[in-house]
Amino acid sequence: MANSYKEITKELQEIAAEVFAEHEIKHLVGFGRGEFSGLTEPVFLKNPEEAERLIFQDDAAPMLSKYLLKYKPDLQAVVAKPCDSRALAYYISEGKISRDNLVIIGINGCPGIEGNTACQECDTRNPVIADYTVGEEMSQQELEAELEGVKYLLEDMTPAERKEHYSREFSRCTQCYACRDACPVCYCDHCYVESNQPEWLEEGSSADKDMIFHLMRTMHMPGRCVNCGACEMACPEGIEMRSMTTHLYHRAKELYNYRPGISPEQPTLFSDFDKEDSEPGFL
Amino acid sequence: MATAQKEKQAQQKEFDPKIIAFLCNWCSYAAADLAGSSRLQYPSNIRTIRIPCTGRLNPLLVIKALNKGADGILVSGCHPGDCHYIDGNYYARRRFTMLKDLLEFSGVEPERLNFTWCSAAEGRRFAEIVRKVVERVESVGPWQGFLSEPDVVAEKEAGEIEDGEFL
Ligand code: SF4
Ligand code: SF4
Ligand code: SF4
Repeated sequence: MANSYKEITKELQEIAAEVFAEHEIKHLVGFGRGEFSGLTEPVFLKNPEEAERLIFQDDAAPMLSKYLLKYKPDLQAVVAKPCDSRALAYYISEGKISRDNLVIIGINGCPGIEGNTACQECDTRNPVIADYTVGEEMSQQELEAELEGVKYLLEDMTPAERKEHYSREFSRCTQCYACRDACPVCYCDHCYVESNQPEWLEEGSSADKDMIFHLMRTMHMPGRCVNCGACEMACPEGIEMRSMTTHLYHRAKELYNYRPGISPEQPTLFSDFDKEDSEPGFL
Repeated sequence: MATAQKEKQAQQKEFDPKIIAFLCNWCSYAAADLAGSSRLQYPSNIRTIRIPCTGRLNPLLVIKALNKGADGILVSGCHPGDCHYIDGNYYARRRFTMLKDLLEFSGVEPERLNFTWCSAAEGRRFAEIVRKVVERVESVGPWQGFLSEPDVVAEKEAGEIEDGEFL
């Protein structure tokens, strides 16, 4: 069974003290109550006395993995939801960050995030890499039972219906790029959206330009997207765009048996091939 | 002949699809040359862009080409195993599969997205491919963009909407 937020919070606080005692870390990145907002926000803890600030709640939506990249030469500890742990495994596989510089406190049997549709179709409920864990592990049978019959977003729509869906959704998009910024695996120093040599995106925001932005971003996502839903959670306009990356997430699984961030040794989808790869729809 | 059919035919005649063909320098581009020098006939709807290898084709360029008004796309490279750079087309194959899947998922007709392999010796095959691609693109008509008109979507949801309401 998924663990309760309360238990996880309690165990996190205990383990945090342990981590501080056992490692010379620069800081511990976890979730805490925002001083002004009252929401659950990322907090950077510097010493064991602060351990009680750690919490885990149903609004712990941000992906903490992304906050580590800025300080990566230092030894850092991080509280990782299972999806976050996959992002970390992906970082390590791409050489973005070294495993030796990470102390990972994984959350077993993740109870999910309120309002995040990705959690309903989540296929990783235990961390893939961790040095410490909190909560009880969720068994494979249990996970399979929960996923039984679950469809991914927009799976059952026809392409024409989806086209309409995106027309409606992207009429609200302002191209603020919050979806990109929240995404744990969108970490390029120079993103194509800001590039003007070549100029991938034309200036201005209109529904069709927004669609181009999303199509292009989605094409950067196969083999990277860990299907965490942070993009959708971050959107100030409440736009549903995760279905695009999610679709490719599932297709890569079907076609290449590939799931991003499952192990730090795994090559990325596009840096690898199999001579027997299928060619669906090729002439 | 029924008038509807006639009209349809007339429309198809008028529709002269613009197809952007990304051809690999080492095979398909040479095949196009061969088709030309062997005086094989094929429709003139393709606009060729020579690329060094299908592995070098950024999938975003395909999105961009459609965005700029291409009615269809053809990407052709060396047969798997015959890449001039040994394995470029193997990498490309995964990318195109994902690209095609994404675009079809979001409403682009599969007929517009054509990927194939064609060696430098296959001039005849190249002409056939172009004929086939043009037929495929013609069968789905002119490209209207990635999105439906927002007005149309709004109207479908709200029922009839007075013109003035959009202003
Ligand atoms: S966060 Fe929402 S509004 Fe901002 S760019 Fe992404 S989809 Fe558009
Ligand atoms: S694109 Fe994928 S990995 Fe990135 S935030 Fe969205 S669901 Fe998470
Ligand atoms: S959208 Fe693409 S270029 Fe931009 S940060 Fe994400 S992966 Fe990098």
